[in-house]
Amino acid sequence: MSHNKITVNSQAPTSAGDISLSTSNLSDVAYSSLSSNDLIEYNGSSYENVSKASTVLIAQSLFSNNNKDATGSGVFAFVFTDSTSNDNTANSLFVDAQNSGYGIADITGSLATSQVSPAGLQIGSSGKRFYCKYEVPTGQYILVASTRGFFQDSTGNSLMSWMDENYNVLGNAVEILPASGGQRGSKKIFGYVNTNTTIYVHLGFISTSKHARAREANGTTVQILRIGDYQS
Amino acid sequence: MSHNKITVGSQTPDSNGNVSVALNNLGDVDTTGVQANQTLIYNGSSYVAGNKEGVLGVIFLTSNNASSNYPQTLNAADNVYWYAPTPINTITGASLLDSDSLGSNWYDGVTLPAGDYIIQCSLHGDFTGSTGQCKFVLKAGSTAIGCIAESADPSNNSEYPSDASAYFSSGSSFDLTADIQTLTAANSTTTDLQAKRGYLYVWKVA
Repeated sequence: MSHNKITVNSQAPTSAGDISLSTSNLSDVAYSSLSSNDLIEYNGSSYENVSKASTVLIAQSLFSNNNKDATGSGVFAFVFTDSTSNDNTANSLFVDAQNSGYGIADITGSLATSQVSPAGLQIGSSGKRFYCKYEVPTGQYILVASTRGFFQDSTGNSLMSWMDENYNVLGNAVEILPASGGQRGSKKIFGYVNTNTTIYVHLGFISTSKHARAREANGTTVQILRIGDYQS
Repeated sequence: MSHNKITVGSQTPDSNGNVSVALNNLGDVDTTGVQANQTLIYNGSSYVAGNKEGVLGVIFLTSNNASSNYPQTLNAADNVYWYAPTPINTITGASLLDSDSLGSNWYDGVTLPAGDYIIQCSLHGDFTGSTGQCKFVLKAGSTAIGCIAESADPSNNSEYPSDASAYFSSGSSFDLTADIQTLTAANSTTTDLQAKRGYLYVWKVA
């Protein structure tokens, strides 16, 4: 057999003896209408081109939502405090998403295992999902939240924002007021974080007064959407 | 030429005559800089390393609680302004607007490339009393998009403050602003309320 009979996947050598191969020459690759931004994807038996636009855009998200006002025993969507007084002094909004009629957690990707409760927090029985502080792996994230406050009287108020574990503010500040103190309208709290390390984020207080650690569940939501890899 | 001169993808045979060909040896593949969990994406001429997962572009104009008084008295002839000493802009081809040339990190919109967008914003205005209110709406060029939004004085018990939201798809570049529609009792003495609490958030979703 002479060398010029050698072919690799039907590709013959050049006069210099090199056989040039492309992905489309491989036996398990078949392209159809290949265009820019297409990806190679395995379809179970071979590789084919698919549009990047057909891939999942948001592969990781976490929604923890309270959906019911509650009175009496139980803990629902209240503000975390490290004191035993009824007057909140510390740092994070606490969201109940225990999937038992008071809230729900809708989670995709790996964020489900990243919920962290602050040290010293006294909460209900085990196995429930109480979110206060969220572990965020490397990447870009949109942070969304809304809440209502429960205050000791009409003069109470809180100024809230998304924060990291060092209390750096990650978005706009929103004032939460009691109903008798002018609480009206939308209370969206937005944030954005672009991190190349794992960090923790929470919905915290820039300032607060007479914000009771009582239950006020309607409309409380925390949403974390991973929108892409870390951007340097 | 003998057979041992044969190469495949410029890879020479070993002593047993075997030619080992890796993905990067293929003529239409360049894996330079590839990282874990990346895939190969066709760039029009060859396959290069990239992320399979899509990326949403964002613009986020907010102040991270920095203090700066609103740069002008609210006026129905103007747009809403946002304060952003460190603006976030990850949308390729987008640029920030300052129509009234106010400077000092105040912006009243963005020029956006063609695409699909989710847009939200707020205004926290300064008013002289309980009749104070300011209604505004997002605009793509001169076209109103989304819902009417409102800022109201805290003592105004007949108005309901709300944020503006819109979804807008455009096949060409456009200027996004929030146009003031109606205004009552604007205060010429301004505060840092908007700097601390106002925001413009744009998500490029397609």
